[in-house]
Amino acid sequence: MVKNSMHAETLEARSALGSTRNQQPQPILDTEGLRVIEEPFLQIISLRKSRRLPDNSLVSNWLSSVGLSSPQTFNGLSGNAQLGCCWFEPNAWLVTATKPVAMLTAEAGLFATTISDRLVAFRLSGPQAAQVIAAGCDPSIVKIGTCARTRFASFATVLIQRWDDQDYRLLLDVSMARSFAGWLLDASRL
Amino acid sequence: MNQPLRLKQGGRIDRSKPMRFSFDGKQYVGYAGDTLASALLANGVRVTGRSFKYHRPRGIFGAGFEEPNTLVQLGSSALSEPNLKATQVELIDGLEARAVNCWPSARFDLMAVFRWLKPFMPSGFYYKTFIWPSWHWFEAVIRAAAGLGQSPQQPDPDHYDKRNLSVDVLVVGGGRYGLEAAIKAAEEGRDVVLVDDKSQLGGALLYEHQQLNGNSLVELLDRASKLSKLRVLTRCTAFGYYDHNHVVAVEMLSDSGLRQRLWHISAGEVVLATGAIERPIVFPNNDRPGVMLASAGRQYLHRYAVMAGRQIVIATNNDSAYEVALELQAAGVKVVAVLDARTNPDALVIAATRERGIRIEFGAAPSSTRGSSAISAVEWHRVDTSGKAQADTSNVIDCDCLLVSGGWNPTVHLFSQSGGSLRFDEILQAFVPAKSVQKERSVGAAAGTFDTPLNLQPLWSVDVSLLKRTPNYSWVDLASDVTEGDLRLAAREGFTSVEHLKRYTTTGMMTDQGKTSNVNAIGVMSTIVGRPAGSVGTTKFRPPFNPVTFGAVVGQHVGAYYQPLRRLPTDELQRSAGAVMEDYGGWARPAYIPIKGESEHDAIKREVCAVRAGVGIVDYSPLGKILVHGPDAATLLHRMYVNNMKTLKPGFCRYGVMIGEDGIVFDDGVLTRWDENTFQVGTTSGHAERVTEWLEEWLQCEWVDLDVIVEPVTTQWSVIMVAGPNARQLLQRLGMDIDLSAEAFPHMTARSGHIGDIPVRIMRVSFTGELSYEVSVPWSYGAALWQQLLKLGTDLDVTPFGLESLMVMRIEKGFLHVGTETEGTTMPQDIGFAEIIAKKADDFVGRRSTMTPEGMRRDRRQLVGLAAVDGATVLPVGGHLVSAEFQKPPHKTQGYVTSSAWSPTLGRPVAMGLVERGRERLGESLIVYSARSPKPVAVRIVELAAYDPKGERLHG
Repeated sequence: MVKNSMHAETLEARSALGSTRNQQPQPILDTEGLRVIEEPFLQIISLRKSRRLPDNSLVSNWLSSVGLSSPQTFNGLSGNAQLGCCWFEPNAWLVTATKPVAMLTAEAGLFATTISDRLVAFRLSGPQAAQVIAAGCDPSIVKIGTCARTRFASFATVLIQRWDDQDYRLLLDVSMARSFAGWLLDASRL
Repeated sequence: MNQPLRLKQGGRIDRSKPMRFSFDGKQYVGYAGDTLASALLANGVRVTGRSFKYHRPRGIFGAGFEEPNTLVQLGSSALSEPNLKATQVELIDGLEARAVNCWPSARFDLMAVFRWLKPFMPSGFYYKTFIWPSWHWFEAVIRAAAGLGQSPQQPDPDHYDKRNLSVDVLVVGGGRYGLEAAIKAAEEGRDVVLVDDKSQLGGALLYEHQQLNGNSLVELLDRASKLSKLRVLTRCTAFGYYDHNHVVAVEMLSDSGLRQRLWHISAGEVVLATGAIERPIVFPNNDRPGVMLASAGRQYLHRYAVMAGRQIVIATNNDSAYEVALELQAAGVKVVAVLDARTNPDALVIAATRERGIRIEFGAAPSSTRGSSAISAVEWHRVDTSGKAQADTSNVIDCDCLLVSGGWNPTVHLFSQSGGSLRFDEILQAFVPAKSVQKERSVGAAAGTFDTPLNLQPLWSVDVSLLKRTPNYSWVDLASDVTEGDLRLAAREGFTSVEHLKRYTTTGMMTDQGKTSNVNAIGVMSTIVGRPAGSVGTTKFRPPFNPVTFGAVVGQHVGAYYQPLRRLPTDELQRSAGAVMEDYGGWARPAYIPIKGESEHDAIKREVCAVRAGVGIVDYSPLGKILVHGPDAATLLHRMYVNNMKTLKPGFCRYGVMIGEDGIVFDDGVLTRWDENTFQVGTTSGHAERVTEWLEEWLQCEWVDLDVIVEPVTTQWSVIMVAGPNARQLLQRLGMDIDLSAEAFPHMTARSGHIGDIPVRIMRVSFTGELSYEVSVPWSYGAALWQQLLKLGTDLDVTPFGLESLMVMRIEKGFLHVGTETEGTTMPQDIGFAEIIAKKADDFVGRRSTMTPEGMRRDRRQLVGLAAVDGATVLPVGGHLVSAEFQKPPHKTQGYVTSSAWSPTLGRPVAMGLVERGRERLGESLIVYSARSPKPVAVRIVELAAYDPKGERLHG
């Protein structure tokens, strides 16, 4: 075996918009009617189920082991914005957590993948949040306590979670983060 | 300043706010609340435009979106906007307007010489005239002359917004019926949006005199204002009605910087209260300025306190125009006469008109107008019930305005767009909604319901054939200069179908979309061919109902948001290093990274040499990565790839080619088997999503028995390719728990481990031909890893390189690039996979197509290397490969150059190409011919790999 010649130096992670773990992100916009902020380093787990499983009981078990109940309806949310789950495809769930949760080894028939780095999360809150959502897609597709995956303005595949009347989380591919942040800023000014 | 036709009182204008404006360079004053058209009328401006083809003088004809004559260009430079209807332009202080399609002005237009060409420009003029010797002889001149107005040359500085809205009920039209429907729905607790194109709600209630005296509009507006469930959007025109009750509307905004907003409205129910548009009467010289719709004259009177003229004649075939006569007279305007084509009509309004002393002539219709630039008299004749003017009944009345009313057409445009069918109503002599196909209902005049009966007698045109005089033109479509004679000619030439009629004569094809002409054209055609108007039919109404700016349609989708490029994890580092970023499959990636003014050529040369001699790094994150997991994962991939994937062992990588069902090469990449049930599929950068969908499609639709889960993870991992003879040495400095030795980690294998506590995955694969590793860390660590490699490799002179340098290296090595070396006919056997297909016992997607007669053709083009015989000329990409006997084109092509570059490594050009039977012809000479190159180049067919053909370096 060829020995590696140096000790590993710790690499520092940066969020999509440049935050570090020790640094509070600055809001992209913070007005009386609207607050837009990146939620950096959210833990995101994609849980997919084999189509051969007769029901979702294994999914429910897995979710309960991390302290979550199963969303009751398709496109539904369970938990809360700190630790929550959305059922976004017939055989797929997305767990989001603001603090680390231990990802359990999935039983046969389940496949849990960490995709925390793949998605960037933006949080929109305030009385004008719905207007910004309406600039990107039909706001009626995401009611309180539900999620929807949709094309949003020019951005393909944005997952919207609506945790409260004026509280939205938008998740999309990390490579689009800066463009999307710029778009949100523009849309909120119009 | 003087406004000679402005009444001293009345109107919905604000006389305390004078507005200065200019038209064709001349200064005028109007009031807040005016439109440009009402202000021009008030100032006595008669000639406001020129006709499209013949440049005849034209005046204001309508009062809203139906206006066919007065198109103006507003503003200047970047804010200039062409082809707006003056009737829809709200007057603002400092407005600059000029008529389009004339020079130097509408009043004095030198281009009016075109009017003398009318006899030579009949229906189908273009089709008849410009066919010999070739349309292209005339194309440049015609294209230069085509169109109206001038588009601004500078970028639009304004912003446009888009909003989506979902409501229970959408009401289009804020007149009485629309308001009532909206109020009722909102009072029932439903979410309602009411849109109206005007600045004020009320529709016809704003100008129908008898209604103004009551409180109906005030009451309705008061009730509406108290309803929280009712949202009102004024200055908002619904212009498109699509499936699923999806209506698109554009709202004019006055906010600084935000010009228009496009609304996408999804409605549970749509109520169309769009009213009706008055029809003009077709008769000779009916286009002279001063001829106007009666309803327009009424609007100018009540909304803007403007007289359409001082001595007005009204021509009609129905009762509605009498109300206009009464109201004008009550306002102090002299109504000289009413010419009524009906012989013996009876209605209270007629009696009232007679009581007021207004002259009425029954069985009379205008047969011509007189005047120089505008109307000074109307000539009329007695007509029979068919509208035929009787000889020797000529009369002339002096006037400065002729108001015409030939009936009313329900505004069925949106209804028709929704898919609803129309029927011809014999009483109205107009098309009305018949059957809805979406959850929609038309109300009020839009449904053909009028408050008072029109008692209309059909009058499609005044027939002057019995009169002994020089024929004059009776204009059917003022906007596109179509006459009754044009329609007769079209009929003689067989274009009697309404669809042919429209296209051959261009009726209804201008910016007003035939709002005042379509039904008259159908009526005239019905009399020509002797069929009922209903059986002639109508063309399909299409969006937009009213012209819409490109800005509104585009909205925010401009500039960086037109097609947002994806960014690398090292994007900022690349840019700060001076990288030239380009779009590669939707990703902004460095093409090359010049140092201190280096040229592209020099930068690429330096980068390539650095990799070949030392070590280079490139951000390779965009390459697609898809996890395929499950007990049947190997089976799925074995079926999806040309290659055998069942034999791939855990920890190993294999290059794979994916083809479509048509046998054509679709994608390629390196697949890694992490464990028995988990593969990582590598795809090209631009195809990651498509391959994911392709796998899911087969799993969900064809092979539902396979137990496989697909998870795309392209951007979960940041990938940095470390390539060059010193690559291993550099990576060893990262302190990973992975043995990087050649024995423990050979070419085409993969390992996972850690850098500290950070997970890392490494694939030892090569697209450069050098010892090469693709190092993956979570995306958020990508920039840190890049910086760390640069820091640790300072003494190794580690060199960041771009995609163009990578391309040069893969051409040197003879590695194909899907989409460059392959095209829409390339099968795997053409790129060296014939043996693999032959050895693979199992079926795979597209296999049968590779075995069709086309796939088995012996002269298929095959991928080979190409070497310039002179050893110096870089071959033109796309250049045709022709036989060595080539003298000059035309000559049969045998293929073409797919990739070509100057090799800094070899000091000579390298190239690849697709050549007929190329693999059998190694060593043969050909000629490369390209129209872009000064002279043909002699080449020899060679092996693909020009550099390290035995692959010793990448195995090092």
